Amino acid sequence: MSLLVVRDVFKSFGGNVALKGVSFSLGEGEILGIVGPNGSGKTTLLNVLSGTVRQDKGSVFFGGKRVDRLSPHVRARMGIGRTFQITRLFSNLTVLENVLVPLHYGGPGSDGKRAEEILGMVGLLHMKDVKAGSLSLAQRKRLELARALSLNPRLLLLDEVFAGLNPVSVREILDLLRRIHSETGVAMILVEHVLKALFQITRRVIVLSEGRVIYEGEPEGMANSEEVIKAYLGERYEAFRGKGP
Amino acid sequence: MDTVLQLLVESLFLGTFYAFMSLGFSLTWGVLNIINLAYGSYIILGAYLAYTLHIYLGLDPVLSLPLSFTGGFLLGLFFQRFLMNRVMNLEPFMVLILTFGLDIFIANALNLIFRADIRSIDVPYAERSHLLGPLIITEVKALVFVLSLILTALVYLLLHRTWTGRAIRAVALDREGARTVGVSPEKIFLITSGIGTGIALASGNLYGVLQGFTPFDGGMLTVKAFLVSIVGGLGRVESAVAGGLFLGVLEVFTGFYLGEGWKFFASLIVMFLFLILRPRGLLGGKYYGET
Repeated sequence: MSLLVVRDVFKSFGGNVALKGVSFSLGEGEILGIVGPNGSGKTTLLNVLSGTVRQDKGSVFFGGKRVDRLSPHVRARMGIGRTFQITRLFSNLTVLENVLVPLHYGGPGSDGKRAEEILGMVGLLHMKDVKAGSLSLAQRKRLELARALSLNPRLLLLDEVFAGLNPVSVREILDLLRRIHSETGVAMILVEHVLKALFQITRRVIVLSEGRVIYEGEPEGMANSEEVIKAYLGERYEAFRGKGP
Repeated sequence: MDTVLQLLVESLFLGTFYAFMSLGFSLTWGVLNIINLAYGSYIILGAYLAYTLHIYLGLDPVLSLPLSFTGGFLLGLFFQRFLMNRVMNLEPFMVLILTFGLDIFIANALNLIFRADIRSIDVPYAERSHLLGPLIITEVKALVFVLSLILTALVYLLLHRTWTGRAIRAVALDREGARTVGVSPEKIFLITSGIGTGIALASGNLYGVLQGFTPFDGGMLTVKAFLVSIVGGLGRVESAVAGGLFLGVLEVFTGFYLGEGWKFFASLIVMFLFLILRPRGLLGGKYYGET
C-alpha cells in the first residue's frame, strides 16, 4: 500500500493557478524528487502536503487516511515532518530545545536522551546549548532536519535542503540524508533546484511545470523529454532544434 | 545615607512586586499579541477574591494564593476561548475595545457587589515591623517581596525548564513554524491566557495585603503593567524584572522627595520618554523568545 497518495490537487491564489490537477503516489520508505522551473508550483505542493496551504480541489491520503482537511500540527503528529526553503527555527531557543519541542510528539522514549541521539546523528550534539539563531546556514539546515526527525516521522518533506550550500556542505547533507534513510527508513520528498545532488539520492523524479506534472520517472529520462526541455528552455529552443544541422 | 538605603530597600520590595504583577500582562502581549486593558481589573478581582475568602473563611491571603491563581487560570481559559479567539485575528483595535469593555464590566460588577468603599485585608501582621540595623523592615512588604520573588522564579522555570514553557516560547517566535512540528498554537494560546490571568489574580492577593483598594483601581494598575512592559522591554521574565525594579525606584523616590501626588505623573513622563527614545525597553526584545 502507498504511504502517500495525492489525487488531482488544484490550488489557485487569486487568479494565479499554482497547481492544476497534480496526482502521484509514494511508497513506504521511497525517496522522490520534485523539480521544475521557478513558479511551477513545487513549494505550493509541499505546503498542501504539510497542511500550511489548503487545496481547492483534490485529496491527499497519508497512511491510508484522508488528511487534506487536517491542521498542519495534526499532520505533524501523524508523522509528516518538514523543513523550509528559508529555515524557520526557533531562533532564541537553544539547539537542544528546538528538538525537545517536537520530540514531545515523537512517541515513547521521547526524552532528553533521545534528543541527544538525534542531535548526535546530525552532528550538532556539541552545540546543543547554543542559541539556534547563531548557527551557520549549513548547521541551521541540519537542525531543521533534526527537528523534523524528532517527530519520529514516516515522511519527510524537504524544501530545497541543498540551496545556498557550498559543495562540501552539499556532500555532507547528502551523506546525512542517506544515513537517515538507511537508519530510519523514512520516506522523503525533496523539492530541489540542485539537480546534481538530487540525482545522487533518488531514482524517481516528478517534473512540474505551470502546476502540471509533465514528467515522472527516472532522472535520466528527463533529458530526452521534449516537454521538460521546453519547460526549462522555452519555445525558442524548440525552434532552434528544429533548424539544427 | 540611611534614608537613601531605606528608600532603596523599599524600592526593591515594591519593584519586585511590580515585576511579578506585570508578568501576566507582558506574557499575553508577547505571546498572543494581546494588549489586555482589563488586566488591572483582573488584579483587583483577585484582591476582592482574597478579601472575601479572608472575611468569610478566615483564610489568609497568602494561603488563598493558589486558589486565586487557579480561579484566574480558569477565567483566562474562558475569556480566551469565548472572547479573545473571536477578535485576536482581527485588527488590534478590536482587541483593545473588547478588553476595555471587559475592564468596565468587571469594575462595575465589583462595584455592585462590594460598593465603592476602600477595602483592605486586615491580616494580623499588617502593622508589624522590625529594626534591621539602620533599616525599618515592614513585615507585610517583606512578605510580599519574598513571595513575588518566588513566584517570578517559578514563572521563569516554567518558561525555561518545562515542555509547555518551550512550546510557549516557540509559538511566540513563529506560530506557523510551531505548527509544523506538532504544536497547536490555539492550545498554547489557551494555556498562556490561563497563566497570564492566573498571575494577575494571584498578584491581586498580594496587592490587597499591601494596600487598600476599590473596584475602580484597575485602570491605574493596567497603566503600571504597561509601563513595566515598555520600560523593561517585552522580551523575557528578566525584562519584567528590570521594568518592575525601575518603576519601584521611580515611585519610591519621587514619592519621598517630591510628594505622593507626583508618583503617577512621573511614571507617565518616563513611559513617554521610553516610547520616544528607547521603544525596545531596557533589555529589548519584542517577543517572549526573541533577544
